[in-house]
Amino acid sequence: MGYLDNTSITVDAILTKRGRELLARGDGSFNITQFALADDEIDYTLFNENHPNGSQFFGEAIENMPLLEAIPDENNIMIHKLVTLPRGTTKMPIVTANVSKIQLSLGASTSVNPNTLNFQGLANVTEPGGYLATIADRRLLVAFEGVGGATATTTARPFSNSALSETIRGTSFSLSAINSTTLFGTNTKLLTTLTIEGVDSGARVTIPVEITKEVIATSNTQGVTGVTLT
Amino acid sequence: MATYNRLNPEDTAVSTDKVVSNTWSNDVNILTTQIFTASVQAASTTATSQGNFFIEVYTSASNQTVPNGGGTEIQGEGNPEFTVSYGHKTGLGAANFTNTAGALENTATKCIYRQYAQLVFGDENSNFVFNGHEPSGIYVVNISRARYKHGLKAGSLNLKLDDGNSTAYTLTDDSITLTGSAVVTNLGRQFNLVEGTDGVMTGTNLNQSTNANKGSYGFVYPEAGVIIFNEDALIDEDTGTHFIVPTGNTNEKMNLKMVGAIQRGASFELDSEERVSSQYMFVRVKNGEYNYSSNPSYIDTNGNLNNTTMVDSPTTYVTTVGLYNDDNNLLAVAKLSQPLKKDFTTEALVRVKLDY
Repeated sequence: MGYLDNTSITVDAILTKRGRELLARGDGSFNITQFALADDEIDYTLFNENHPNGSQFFGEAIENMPLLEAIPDENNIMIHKLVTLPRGTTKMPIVTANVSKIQLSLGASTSVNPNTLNFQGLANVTEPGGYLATIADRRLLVAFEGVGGATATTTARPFSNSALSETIRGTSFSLSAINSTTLFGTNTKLLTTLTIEGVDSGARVTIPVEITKEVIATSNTQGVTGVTLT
Repeated sequence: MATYNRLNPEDTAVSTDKVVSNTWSNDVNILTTQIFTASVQAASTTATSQGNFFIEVYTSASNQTVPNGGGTEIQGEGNPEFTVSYGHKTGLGAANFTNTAGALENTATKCIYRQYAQLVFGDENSNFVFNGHEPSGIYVVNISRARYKHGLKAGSLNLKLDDGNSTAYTLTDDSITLTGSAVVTNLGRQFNLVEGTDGVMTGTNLNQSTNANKGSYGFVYPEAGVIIFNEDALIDEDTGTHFIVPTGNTNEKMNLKMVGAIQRGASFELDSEERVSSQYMFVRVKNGEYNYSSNPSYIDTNGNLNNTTMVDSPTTYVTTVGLYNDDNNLLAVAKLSQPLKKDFTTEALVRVKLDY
């Protein structure tokens, strides 16, 4: 007769850049209320279903893998979230958007509408919980708002001289590029990313965002001057 | 279908723990002979020179050029460990700021005395009285803020003074002898500076210098990182002329006398303490939760599971725990040391600790 394992796993958390910023604000926005799990670093092609020693060893390579320390950039961690789905699910949800790249000139605006494939057996739906849209460098936008669904409260944006992300919630999102050229320096364009994640599905898509110093108008514009959607 | 789980009130706990560490730079426990000053900082050429107010003490030094043709000499460098000041009730030991009638005969030493009296007592009338004895002068050792966290640990002070004439003696606070009870001042708790070690006073009388009539050696203020010495007790202990009463309104560099006694003593031990508040979050994962992944290697481009055995027995490997607010902002993140296997037959409890 052996002893039962009564240990729990203990891990040390670090604040993200966003966490530090909200903590510094002191307005109550730093309030941990929920958690999510992710399997960043895991490559499931290491899961060997043909392992000669049997099913107990399918995950041998993954289970023995040492993991890296956490990094404080919220844009580069918790990338691949784990999801709660009914047993027997064969197809995982996939988030898509109406654009694969966003190109904005100074002061131009556009909107992004995400959808989810394979959501609860349906081909193409809007998730009931909505979507989370994260702009990696919010300095590049003068307006970044979510529309529809459980839209998260927009808070005042304190001045920041370095790139900080901002996350909003909605079923579609509108973006307006900055009007000034201060951040450009000698560059002709500034790059960032917009990551859209399904609140219910955890699936995500990352869309490159390019803000150009010049006002552009191509044949591919969709009604708004200076906006190119491809 | 969900990716975020709410933490219930019973899933979080807050704990505050006391952490004690060495005060001195590079985690040094006891300062010995590596004690330096910098003549540039300690200069006392004019009445308002910084060196008349305080002298910074360092533990590292290098050969540096002294201004005004002073050549080169070993000079303290880096961040100061502590500063030493001398204060006098009437301003002796330093030159008058202004030598004219009506100038109140203010000097650097008078400023220091009134500055610390104001900090401790909060009024303009009180003077330092050590167990019934009121000296004219005080020495002050002020630990640099960067060297201690929330305060000094009471009972950890062991400072050996050697005036070069009498036998070296070790001073400590009397916090252990008094079982922690202290006079509470504007500068926090006040313990007596007495002869002894590790917070335990030698003997029973606070007046411990040679003639035992000059009061205690001083006061220790752990919260402020300040030690105030009774000048008369030090003079009483000194059989020679190292510690002396200042004679007039000239820059006598009185604070260097205390630096010299600490240097010769070659043993200054002090611990600092910090209260660390930790928030514990118990992340409980039920058997039916988090068994599927949005990891691209988990699925093909159409969303089909890559591994056929996972259709019947979906398996994931947890590596990261993210903590969010209501707006889904990622506030804190924790990584596991090894991937944690999760399927429909297992549950997990992960205790996440977040220090502030």
